[in-house]
Amino acid sequence: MVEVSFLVGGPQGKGVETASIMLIYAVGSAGYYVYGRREFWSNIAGGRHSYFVGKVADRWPPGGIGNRVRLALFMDGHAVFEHIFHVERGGVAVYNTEEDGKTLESFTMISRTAVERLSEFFKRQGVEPTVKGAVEYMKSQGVKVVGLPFNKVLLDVGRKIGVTSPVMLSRFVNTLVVAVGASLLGLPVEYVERGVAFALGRKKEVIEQNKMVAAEVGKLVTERVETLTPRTPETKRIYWNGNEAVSVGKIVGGVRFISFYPITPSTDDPMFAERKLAYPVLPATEELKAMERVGAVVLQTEDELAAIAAAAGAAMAGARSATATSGPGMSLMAETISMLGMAELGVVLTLWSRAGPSTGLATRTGQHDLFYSLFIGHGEFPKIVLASGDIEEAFYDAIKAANWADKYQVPVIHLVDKDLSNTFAVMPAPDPYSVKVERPQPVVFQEEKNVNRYEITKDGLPVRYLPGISKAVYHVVSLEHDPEGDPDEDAEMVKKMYDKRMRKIETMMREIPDEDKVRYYGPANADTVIVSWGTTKPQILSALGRLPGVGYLQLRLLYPFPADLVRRHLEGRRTLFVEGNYTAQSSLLVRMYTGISADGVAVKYNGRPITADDVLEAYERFAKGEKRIELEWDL
Amino acid sequence: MTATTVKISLKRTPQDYKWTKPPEWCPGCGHFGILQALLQVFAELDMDPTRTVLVSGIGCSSRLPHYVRTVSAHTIHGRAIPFAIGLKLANPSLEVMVVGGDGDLFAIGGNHILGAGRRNVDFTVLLMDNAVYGLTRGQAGPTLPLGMQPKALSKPNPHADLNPLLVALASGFTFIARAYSYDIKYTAKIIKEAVLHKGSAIVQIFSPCVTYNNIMTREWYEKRVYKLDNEPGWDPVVHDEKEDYEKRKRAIEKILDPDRFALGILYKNELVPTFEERYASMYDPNYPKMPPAIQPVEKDGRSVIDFYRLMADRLL
Ligand SMILES: Cc1ncc(C[n+]2csc(CCOP(=O)(O)OP(=O)(O)O)c2C)c(N)n1
Ligand code: SF4
Ligand SMILES: [Mg+2]
Repeated sequence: MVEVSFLVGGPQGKGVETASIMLIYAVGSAGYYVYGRREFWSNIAGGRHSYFVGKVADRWPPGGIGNRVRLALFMDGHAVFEHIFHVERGGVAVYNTEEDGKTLESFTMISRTAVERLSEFFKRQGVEPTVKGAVEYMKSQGVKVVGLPFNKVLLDVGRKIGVTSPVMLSRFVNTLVVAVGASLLGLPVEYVERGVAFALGRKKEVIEQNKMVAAEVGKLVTERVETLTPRTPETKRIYWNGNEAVSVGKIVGGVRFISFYPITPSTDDPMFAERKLAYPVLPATEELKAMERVGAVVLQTEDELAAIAAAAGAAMAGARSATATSGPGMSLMAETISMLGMAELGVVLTLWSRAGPSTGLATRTGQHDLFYSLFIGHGEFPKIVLASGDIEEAFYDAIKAANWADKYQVPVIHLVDKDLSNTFAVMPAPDPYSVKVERPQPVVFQEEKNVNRYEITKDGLPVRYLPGISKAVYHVVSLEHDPEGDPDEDAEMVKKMYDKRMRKIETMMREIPDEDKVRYYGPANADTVIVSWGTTKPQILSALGRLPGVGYLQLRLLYPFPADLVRRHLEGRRTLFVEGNYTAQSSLLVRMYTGISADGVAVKYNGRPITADDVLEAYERFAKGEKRIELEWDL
Repeated sequence: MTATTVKISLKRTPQDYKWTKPPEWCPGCGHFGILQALLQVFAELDMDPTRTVLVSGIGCSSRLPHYVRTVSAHTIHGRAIPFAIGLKLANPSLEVMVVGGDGDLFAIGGNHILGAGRRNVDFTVLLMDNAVYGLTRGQAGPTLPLGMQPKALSKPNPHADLNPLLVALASGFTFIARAYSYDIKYTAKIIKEAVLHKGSAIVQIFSPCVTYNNIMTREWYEKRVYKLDNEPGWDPVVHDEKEDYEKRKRAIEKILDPDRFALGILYKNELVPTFEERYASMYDPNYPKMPPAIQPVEKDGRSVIDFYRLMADRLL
């Protein structure tokens, strides 16, 4: 069994992302599965530290991300300081020896808080506050260090391939670290070349140069962390990130109108849909066969108020429509979400939640917006909030969200986060046709007719009329109304309409399958159950492997809340809620709906995701009697 | 306006466009005239009520769609324009029209005017301007002049007025016109031109609020308005791109006149491609034939998307 955790770190905008993609794709093309996530300070190429931490394995899923990695590739001295505690005993760290003499203080892009903390630590430990000192400290902790003079190596290689300009040479640092990493992983150079070609895209000449760099540099390293012999994967695999998986899920799910206003970490979702235009279609009908491809409207609006309003308008026209944003944008969308409830229009809102109130931590993760998703929008109205646990689930959930918005004519908040958005994976390709696309058909008349769009129906669902298609005349309205869609405040009508709308909740609860409400893992008779929601899933599942007898309840449908199911799973068990916020929101939610109180909560709100090791730590402390466990690991 | 909206059948009358319930405005409210004019235009153009969509926000003015027998959406305060744009882009064969007040379209929804103009979506905006917030009982609207004190205000207005047509012109609206609601016939004439215009059209219609704006009354407006039709040689149409600068300059001169309010078409340019045309040429040639609302997305529950071709560059 092969399982290697790794990290690539360096200055933001100087090729860390490219290096990570090269490495992921290289390992992937050798038949392995990979997954990991990108962490970064804003999106500015200003030299702040950014890194990718992940795992390679010969199976899917590769297991959770722990607190330390086995292989660390540091593109600069800054990275050494950032990750001084992140390499495991017996692991290997690669760094540039030319920076040995640089002091901690000289890296102005390291947070001053970190500089103070590390200085103090170095003083206590008697470590010299330089890159060399940091490296020596790592060695003292059992880390093998591979030091290379990066610039000298590149100069030598440059002479062989005919590149001498220092600026040009510095652009090869990413390839250098990847080649060193690949050598350490025992990966044949041809796979590195594939990674290079994939990551650099169309730039032919640059690709050739980088391939030569990779070949030359690879020869310099003889140590091995692992030997990744090329293997034949068991399934068709796909390389993508979370933003892309959800974006494609919506396209497969029939979404053809996408409006957005740029905001991290959501933008790559609509932008991927835009880049992929027009979409190839199956020859399902004569018309589609002739067209080969279909389009979608991807519209960058002037703000989020417009983004969701445009999606609402498109929904009224009959298109499956969606918008994507994060917390600040959703705040602007609140009033329209409420309108969708009253006017009965279905829109998918993918919430790529990030950390903190206000602008907060724009590029960091957190599960802070659970309550906000549930309660957003004034007044009472049915909506759906669905939280996905991992990248695969998020793809399928995006299709389901599109179905539900269309069918129930309600806002559907698909709750995902920064962690997932920047999760990159080489994984088994999903079965894109395993989720049915369920499209309610509109009523179509022969002759023009006035109709009641808000007829009082048993299941609460509106009859489907579409402008220009149904030959129907009707009014859509945000005020309380009569069946015709005109304002009506008659007390009896108000109650009737209210009841009718709220009946959708029962309908949805009846029709949505249990596996979309909660998922339970572990022994049926577990006496302790870890309860969580969202993207903590891979980490909890991984930790569960080391916690025999412990169960895990993953909450998926958060609104309407499947109280009975949850009660059935939790009654009589000890519960530990694990989640990425301060107030342990899901524990309060469960108590509100089921009366079951948490026996313990483990929370993390430092802008970093919960790791598999965090989960183990949480359980251990819980077992010792701690009731509130605050997790703090910073990887 | 798109050709598909014209139906060959017995021509409808204004009466055919009346909905089931009567208007609820204060007697004498300017908004009645606009409604009347609109019904006339719909009849004249024989608009298909099942393909015509009126979109409004919130305000006395925004109630108008409830009195009209077409498909409509009475949305929330300020968001009618983006809602209408989404609707129109999802199905460009629809005839889409926004109606709203000065508060709705130029205060709370102001940013959407800027966004709309830049796109030049083929739709029409009717600004029912009374310079106050009628529905919330007479507070200052964005078009109320500085220092004016209509009766609901306890102090003179400390805000200066904005000029909605200047804003619209600067944003890129390709049809800019003005009307006066008590002159129903003329208002109908201008609305009709706006509907027929290819591109984003806006008509500012002075529409006195008889209950709260006791200063900008019928008498006040009638002292100031005049019709451009009577100006010899007035031609607001851009016939050639080279004329655009000149035509805009002349429009601006009229729009800025503080004393005399020109009614009529101030600027019209159909040479600017609509957003729908831009989309078809830049994104998807099939867009006019297969816009989002018309596309089949599944066949027997199976997505029509060829996932494996879509993601071909990502499969290993
Ligand atoms: C978000 C929001 N804020 C405030 C209001 C209250 N409100 C309703 S209508 C209106 C102003 C309407 O003025 P205008 O658009 O000029 O229309 P008029 O009534 O004058 O025709 C306001 C402020 C609201 N409905 N929604
Ligand atoms: S308050 Fe003013 S705008 Fe509203 S209906 Fe009455 S007169 Fe018309
Ligand atoms: Mg007004």
